[in-house]
Amino acid sequence: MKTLIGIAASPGTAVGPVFFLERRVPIVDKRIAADSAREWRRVREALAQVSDSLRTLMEDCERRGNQSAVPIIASNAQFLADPEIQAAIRALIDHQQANAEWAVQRGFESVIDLLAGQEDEYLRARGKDLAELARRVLEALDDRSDRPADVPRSPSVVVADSLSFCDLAALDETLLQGICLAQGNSNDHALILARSTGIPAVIGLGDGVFSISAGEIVRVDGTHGLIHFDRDRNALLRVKEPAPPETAGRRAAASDPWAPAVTLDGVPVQVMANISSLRTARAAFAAGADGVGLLRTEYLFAGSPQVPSEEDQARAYQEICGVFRGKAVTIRLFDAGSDKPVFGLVSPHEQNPALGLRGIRLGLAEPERLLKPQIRALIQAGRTSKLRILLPMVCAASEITAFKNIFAECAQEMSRSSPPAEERIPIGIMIEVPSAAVMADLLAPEADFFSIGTNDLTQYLYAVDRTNSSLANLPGSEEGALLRLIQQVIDATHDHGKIVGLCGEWGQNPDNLALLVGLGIDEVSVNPFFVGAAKTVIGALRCEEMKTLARTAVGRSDLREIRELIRRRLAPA
Amino acid sequence: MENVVTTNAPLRREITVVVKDKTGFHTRTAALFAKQAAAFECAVRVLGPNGKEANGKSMLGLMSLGVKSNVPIVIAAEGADADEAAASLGKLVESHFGAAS
Repeated sequence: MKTLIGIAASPGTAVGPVFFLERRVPIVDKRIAADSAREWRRVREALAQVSDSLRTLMEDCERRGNQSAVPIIASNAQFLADPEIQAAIRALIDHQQANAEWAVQRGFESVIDLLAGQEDEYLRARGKDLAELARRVLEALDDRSDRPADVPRSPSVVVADSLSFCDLAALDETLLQGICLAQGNSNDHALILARSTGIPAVIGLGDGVFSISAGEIVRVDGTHGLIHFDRDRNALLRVKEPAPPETAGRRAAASDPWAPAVTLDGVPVQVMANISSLRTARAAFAAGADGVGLLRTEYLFAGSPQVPSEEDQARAYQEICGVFRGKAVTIRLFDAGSDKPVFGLVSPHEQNPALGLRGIRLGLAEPERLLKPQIRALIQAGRTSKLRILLPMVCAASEITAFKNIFAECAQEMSRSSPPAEERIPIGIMIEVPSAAVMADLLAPEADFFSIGTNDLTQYLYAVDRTNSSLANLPGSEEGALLRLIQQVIDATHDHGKIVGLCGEWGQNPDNLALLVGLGIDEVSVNPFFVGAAKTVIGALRCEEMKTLARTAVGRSDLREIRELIRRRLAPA
Repeated sequence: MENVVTTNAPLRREITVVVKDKTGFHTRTAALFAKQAAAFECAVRVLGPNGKEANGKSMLGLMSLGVKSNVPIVIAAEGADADEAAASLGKLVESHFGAAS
């Protein structure tokens, strides 16, 4: 059995036969074509052919109830009829006597360049759609490729170099068991669609995926970003996952999902949920979450053209707290930046948005418009609900002090009209900037709690953009440095008698969860679908044993061997 | 519609409107505008900020103008049905592209 490591792009596990999705990239030569009228006619026929195939695809999607795909395909079809694109192609045919193929390729390239010069990342990304359209038109021009692209006729795992939205929409979802891509970006439309329809996907696997032979069976683990392949299906079915979310879900449903997670030797760990809406709040509560470890408020009001009013915010926070019936709900302040703009706040263009004016920095820069309405709404909601405030992107103690001053100002103003809450609202910070992690012992006296945000912390710690598939196999993925930093933060917090949790995808892996329990984490916050699995994993651990393993792991740069040990302990006998 | 300026009598019509849609000219808004513009016989040009100009019947051209929210654009229609085209396109932009909200 062979294993490849990639990037987890859509959670879940599937086992099925491999199907290679061929994406022919036609090779284009420039020829002198004397008969311009003929070449232009060929282009028009090819455009019409692709346009027809997109229309058929839209009808298929509608029939299959895949409504979300329709407008995206429709806008692609409109590009084919675009007068500017057609004019660019025609000019090459008329003035340079280019053949249809070369004119299509160069014509599309020139319009892709138009979009590539845009500031707006979304518009630049549409260049990818155009490149895919050009490929399809070139395919239509190739007389030898009359036959439609092969699609799987029986349930299969699709393997390809990359996957466009239209490629995916053309496949019958009921036959699509999983997706493995050599390249890919988890923000691609195709992968967003895969996540929304629950198809497991692993991307960034590199050319290794093409070493799978026809007839082999593939196991896609979209939760951990792994694939295994072998001729023997049974060997793959025997691959043990410590606690697959499916079984854990069943277990949790069978017994009491709200029963607290306690290790075999009696150490409790709070399992909370990461949520972004009332809908996910309900899903998390139903899954048995002990509260909310992270409410992403910028998503709660996504699409709002201006900063939501104090009243609207207070109502929304109370509604979500109501779902959790007295369990703590951790509300993170708006976490936005120039790459993630919110509420029509126009940020100056930044060369490097990940290191720019974002999170608490933006709040402190815009106290009147952004920070104060949110603080007042939180104070108002806090009178009737149990909530905690979480500050994003803190890198130094002075930011906590600045926030607390503004908070005190708001609280004082509000206490004139109505009495203050009986209980003080706890104020905590995200530990996601390495400087905050390193200084955790000095920040701990200033905060009521810490929440380690591993997604950004990993990116900033290793200087690795996790969405960049060519970086997927850098040494950073061995995680030794991250684990050591997490240990230091946990120890520093406990020295000051504070509590510490971890939100972020790193905690959604059973081995990592085991290590965190060994390091003494108080809370973990995971996606609602992982709550049941996390409780099962914790319930199967012996804390003392994990302590020993975690102590060993902290001395390693590469955690793979330790993970193997943990997996063996966790595997059902 | 503000600044209704008529130049060159019935054949040419220019109006200035502000794109209030929160994303400016993106895929959806540009597609709707181009589709509606294509329904008229007259030529439609759109002038964006920084003096850029695009064919109003081209979704791609409109997207490449880089028009963000709250930015004024000039719609210039020229041809037999220029009056109707300018009025109808101006209305489309001002109605937030027929958004349900």
